[in-house]
Amino acid sequence: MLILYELKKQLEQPFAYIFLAICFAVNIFLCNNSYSNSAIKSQSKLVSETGTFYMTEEIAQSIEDAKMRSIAQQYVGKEISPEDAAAILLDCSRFGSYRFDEEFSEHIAEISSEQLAKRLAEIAEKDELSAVNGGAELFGVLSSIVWAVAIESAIFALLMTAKILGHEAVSQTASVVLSTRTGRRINLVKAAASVIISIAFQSVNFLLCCTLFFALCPCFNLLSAPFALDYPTVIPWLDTTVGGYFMLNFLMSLLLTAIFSLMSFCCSGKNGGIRQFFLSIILAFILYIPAFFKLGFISPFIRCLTPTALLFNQPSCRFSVSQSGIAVFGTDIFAIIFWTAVCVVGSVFAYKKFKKSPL
Amino acid sequence: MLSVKNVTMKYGNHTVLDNLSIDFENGVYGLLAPNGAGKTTFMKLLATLHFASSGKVMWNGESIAALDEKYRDIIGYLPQQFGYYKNYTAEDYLLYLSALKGIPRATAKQRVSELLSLVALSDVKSKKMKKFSGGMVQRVGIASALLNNPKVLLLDEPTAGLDPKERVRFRNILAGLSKDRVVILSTHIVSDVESIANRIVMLQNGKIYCNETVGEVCGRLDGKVFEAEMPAAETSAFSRNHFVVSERFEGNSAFVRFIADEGDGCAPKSAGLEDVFLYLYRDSEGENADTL
Ligand SMILES: Nc1ncnc2c1ncn2[C@@H]1O[C@H](COP(=O)(O)OP(=O)(O)OP(=O)(O)O)[C@@H](O)[C@H]1O
Ligand SMILES: [Mg+2]
Repeated sequence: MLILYELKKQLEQPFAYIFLAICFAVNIFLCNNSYSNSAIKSQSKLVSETGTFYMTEEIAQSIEDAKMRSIAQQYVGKEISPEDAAAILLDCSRFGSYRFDEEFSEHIAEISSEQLAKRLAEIAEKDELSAVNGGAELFGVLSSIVWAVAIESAIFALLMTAKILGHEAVSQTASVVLSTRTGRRINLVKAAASVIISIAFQSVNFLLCCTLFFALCPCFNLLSAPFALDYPTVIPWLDTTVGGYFMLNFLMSLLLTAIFSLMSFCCSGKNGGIRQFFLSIILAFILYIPAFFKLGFISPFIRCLTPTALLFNQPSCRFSVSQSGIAVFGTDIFAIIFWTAVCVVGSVFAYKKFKKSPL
Repeated sequence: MLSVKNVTMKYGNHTVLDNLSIDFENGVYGLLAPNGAGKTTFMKLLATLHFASSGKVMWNGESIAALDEKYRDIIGYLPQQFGYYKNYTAEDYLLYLSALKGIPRATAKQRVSELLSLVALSDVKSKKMKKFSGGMVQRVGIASALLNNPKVLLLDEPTAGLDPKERVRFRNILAGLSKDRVVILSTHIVSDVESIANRIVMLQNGKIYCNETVGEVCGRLDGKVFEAEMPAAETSAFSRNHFVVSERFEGNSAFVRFIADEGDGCAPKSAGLEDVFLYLYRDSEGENADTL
């Protein structure tokens, strides 16, 4: 009952809608990355034209690098797009698992699909020596959307609580509320409302961005591209598609947003929402500066703050070995430390908030 | 019965209530003291918004801190400055507070419309509160304190901002309510309590100075209030030597009301509550006031 009032209070803030519009406007830039979008589009087209390719035991066996081989082995008998296969094999060749030349593509042709052979021959002929791993590329873009949306809703949660609490501090609603029977439980209700609102905000923002992205870059067929984690040990049963892992990522980010908005509610002091306000500015910097200036060197640090980095390694397709194992491992550890710290600090604040006497 | 036992309330080193004890029975109590004397602090203490530095408040023999929600269930509190949500209508706001007070929705709707007509706001119940005048907001506040039909009604300057007509209406509401509950009404507007309150409670230096009926309080100045008629030019000289309560000019002559032990032949007047208030708190902070 009470929660309906708290929700209504938040939904009536014009600020919520203005902020959503601002986020959407900003995300147009994030979604519209011409380099990866054109790569994804062309790959999507290629996949629909050339059909699929089945990973064979022979190809898997012929990979020299043990890690790559074991990964390839998991795909034996499964569908994979020729472009992805080409990208994988090119990756292998870069790491010395394969010598990539015309002879090799003929070898592949003998044991595998025509389409892949044709594509490999083309690549070899043009001396491109590059192919895009479409699934990985698409995943990279999609997870940056998840990341942006998650951070935006964190900022939203902060500003919203700052606004609501600030308003209540200024207009002194506390004395009326706290003298009523259930008034002392209002903090819990408010916290729940703020969690619900920020999750709703995130979902709407996410839907808007995805719609925008797929309108700019139609590539639905790549969503079903196979995808696995670099460290399947964390969740061994997780063997999914780009789309599936993307959704998983999103759900994870929802969970973390819930934690975050709870925290942002709890860390408020007597002054209403000053702390939230400054935190939100810091978060905005974390999100937008690297995004706009494409500062590659910050990205490992940024990536470890992404919601999914907590449980899973930062998204990377099964065959992408372009990141060194150590860097990825470090990211993982850092992410776990970071999010553990966030949760510990959050629960300390929460404990204080809900424990202490009201005035 | 609400009884306050040896309560001391401090803000840092500043003692606001000093070892104060008083019992409240059913009826209207006018809590009268100048600005900064600790009325709001006292009300907050009774509304459980503050906890006493020492001493305790008991409701029917049980400490209100221990009763907790059970006690808050039977009080209605109108703070001196009360917060409301500007976008809420009067009805919404009252329903929201009913929810906070744990009143079931169906009962609450009924009660809210009753109270809105009691404070004469039925016509504007769907208007947002940000469009209300100060007095209208105050009336919503009065209604909100009555929502749960409280046994203890704490009103911190409830009449601030009300026009005379509404004041009278408010007095009548209170008169009807006071039979079976404790009503504590804080104010520094003497005329407010003069007609409503069964008993006047005055605070001085953080202690109860008196807890008496209006007649008894005024009796303290019986035969000490006088009115002198003199030329207007002499009033300033006169007020230097006498405690002047009020001056009224008519043409060239002035009527000066003053308090003194001896009237020096001036016409004695019957003492009012205002005379007592002014005399008791004649030093601005009320801190060095004499007893009568
Ligand atoms: N939160 C606070 N911190 C410190 N001192 C306070 C606080 N609130 C009130 N005081 C002090 O306590 C004293 C009593 O204040 P209180 O508000 O109870 O007075 P009051 O009788 O209600 O005055 P008014 O008629 O102006 O409403 C004042 O001297 C005030 O300065
Ligand atoms: Mg006051």
